[in-house]
Amino acid sequence: MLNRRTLLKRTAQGLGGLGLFSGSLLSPVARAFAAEAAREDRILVVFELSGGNDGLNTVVPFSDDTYYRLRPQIGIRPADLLKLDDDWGFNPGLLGLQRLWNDGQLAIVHGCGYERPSFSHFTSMAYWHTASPNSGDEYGWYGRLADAMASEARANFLINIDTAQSLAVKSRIHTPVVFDDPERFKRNALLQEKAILDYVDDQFGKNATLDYLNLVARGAREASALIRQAWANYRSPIDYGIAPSQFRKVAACIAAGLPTRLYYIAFPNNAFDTHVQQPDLHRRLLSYASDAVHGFLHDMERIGYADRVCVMMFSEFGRRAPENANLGTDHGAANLMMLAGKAVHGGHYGEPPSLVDLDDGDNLIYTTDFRRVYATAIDGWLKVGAADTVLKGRFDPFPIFA
Amino acid sequence: MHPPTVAGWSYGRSWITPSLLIERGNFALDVVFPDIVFVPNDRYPEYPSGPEIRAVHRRLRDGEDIASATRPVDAVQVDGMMSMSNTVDRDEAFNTRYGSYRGWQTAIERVKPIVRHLANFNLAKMVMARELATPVAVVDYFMHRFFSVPLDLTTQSMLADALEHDLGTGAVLSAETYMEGPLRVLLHLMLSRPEYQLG
Repeated sequence: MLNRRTLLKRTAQGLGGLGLFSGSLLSPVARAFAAEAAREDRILVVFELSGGNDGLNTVVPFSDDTYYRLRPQIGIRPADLLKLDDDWGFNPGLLGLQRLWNDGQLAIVHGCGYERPSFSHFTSMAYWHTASPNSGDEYGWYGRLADAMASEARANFLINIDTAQSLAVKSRIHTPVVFDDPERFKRNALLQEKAILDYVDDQFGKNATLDYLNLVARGAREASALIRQAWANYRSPIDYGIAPSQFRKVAACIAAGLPTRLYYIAFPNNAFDTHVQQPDLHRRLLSYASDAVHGFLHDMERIGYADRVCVMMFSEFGRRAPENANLGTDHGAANLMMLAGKAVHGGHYGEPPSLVDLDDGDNLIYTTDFRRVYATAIDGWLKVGAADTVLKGRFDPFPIFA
Repeated sequence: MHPPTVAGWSYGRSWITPSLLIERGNFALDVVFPDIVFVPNDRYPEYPSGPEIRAVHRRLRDGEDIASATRPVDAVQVDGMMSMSNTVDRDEAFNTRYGSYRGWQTAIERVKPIVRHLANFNLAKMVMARELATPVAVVDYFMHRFFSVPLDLTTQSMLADALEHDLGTGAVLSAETYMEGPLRVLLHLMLSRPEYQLG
C-alpha cells in the first residue's frame, strides 16, 4: 500500500538519489514534507538505573503498615513523602517525577520481574538486556528491536551513550553508535592523514572480529562529526539538575535532527547498589535521575519534540523487602518500572506485589513479566507491531499509550 | 586503576566502541606528536606566542593545511599586546610560525617541566638500521613489527603512497635527515587502523 507518508519518503529518497539536490536546495515544500515525515517517527529513550534501585523506597506504599514494619529504620515517614494519592508517595528526591505525575505524564508499572529471579547484578542485568530470563540471547532486546524496525543497516539508528557498549543494544544488523564524551568523539588528524583514516576495508569475511572492528570504524566515521557538531550547537536554558546527565547528550542529538529512533543510557557506576547507609544516598541518586528526566522532557517540549519522545526506566532488580542491619537494603526481586512522556497515560499499572506474602528469601514476588512493559514500548509507543518477534513470545502490552 | 564497577572492565567485543577506537587513534597521535596544550598557561612565556602556538596546534589537528592553520588570528589581544601578525610569511607551507610550533613540540619531548613519561623512540634510526629503501618496505616492516593481523593490500599501498608523498621521494634512505616526521605520521595512521586493535 502506498500511503502519503511512504510517498513522501520515496520522494525524498528519489531527490537524494539523483544527487542533484542537497538539503539546502530542496524546495520549501519538499523540506516541509520531509520534516513532517521525520516528526512522525517516534523516539524511545531507555534509562537504566543500574545497581538495583530500591523500588519500595522510590514509590512508597505508605498506607500499608507492613512497609513500616519491614523498614523500621529506613522507611520514609508519610510526612516526608511526596504524595501521589491515598496509598502511594514518592521518595522526596523525586520532585521532577512528581511534576510529571501531576501532569498525567508518568506511568508506574508495579511488580515487574521474572520467574526464578537472579540476585547477581550481572546475571539479572543480562536477563533484562536480552529479555531472556534464565536463558540468554546472542543479541540484546534493543538491538533486536532495531533489527525489527529497520531490516537494513542505517547509520546512527541506535545510540548508546556510555563508556562501553551495553549488551541490550547488540544488534545483528545495526552497529550501535557508542560514545560517552561528545567532545572527545573526534578524530585528531593532520590534513594529509584524513583520507586514509576515513578509509575502511569493505572486504568482509576474512576474520569475524576484524569485520566487527571495521563496522565499528565505519560507525565512528559516520557518527563522530555529526554528534560532535550536535553537542557543540546544543544550548538549552532548561535545568537538568545538578548532576551531569546523559540526557543532555540525547537532547543534543535529537535537537540536531539525527535519524536516531532508539537511545540507550544508564546511570553510571552501578550507583543504585545501596547496601549501606541508604536513605540520604538513595534520595540524592533519585533526585539526580528524576531532575534529569523532567528536564529532558521539558526540553523536548521546548524544541517541539514532546509528542515524539518517551522515556522508559528500569533496574535489574528491586531490593529485599526488609531493611538490612547497615541502614541499607540487599539485592531483591520484583521492582517497578516507569514510562514518562507527553503521550503516556499517567497512573498505576500492574498489581503491586504483596508485602506479606514474600518468597523464601523475603523478596517481593513479581506480578508482571517485565517483558510486558517492553512490549508496551515496542508496540504501544513505537507502533512497530513486532513485539512477539523481538521478545520471542506473546506479552500483553499495557494500555499506557492507548 | 580502580575498576569502573563491581563487574570490572568490559571485555570481548563490548569494550571497543566507535568512540574508543577514535580515542586510541588520538592517543597514538599524541605519542608521535606530543600534545602541547597540556602545558599550564604560566609555563608559556609572557609574550603572546603561547596562545598562538596552541591555536596553531588545534587547527593542525583539525586537519587544516599549514598555511591556514598558521594564519594569525586578527586583533587577538593578549595582556595588552597585539598578537604577532607577521603577514610576510603567512601563506607559505613552511613558515616561522609552523617552525616555532614544531620547536615547541620537540622541546616538550626533551624538557620535562612536570613529571611524566614520554615515549622516546627514533623511527628514522629504525628505518636506516634495516636499510628499508622503499615506502613499501617501511610499511611492511611496521606491519610485521606492530600488527598481528595483516592489513589488506589496498590499505598497504595507500600508506606507502602517503609516505612517498610526504617524503617527496620513493628513495627512503636519501631522506634520512627529515624522515622522522613523515614516519611518525605513518605510524599514527597504522596504529589507528581497526586491524591494530587486534592484539
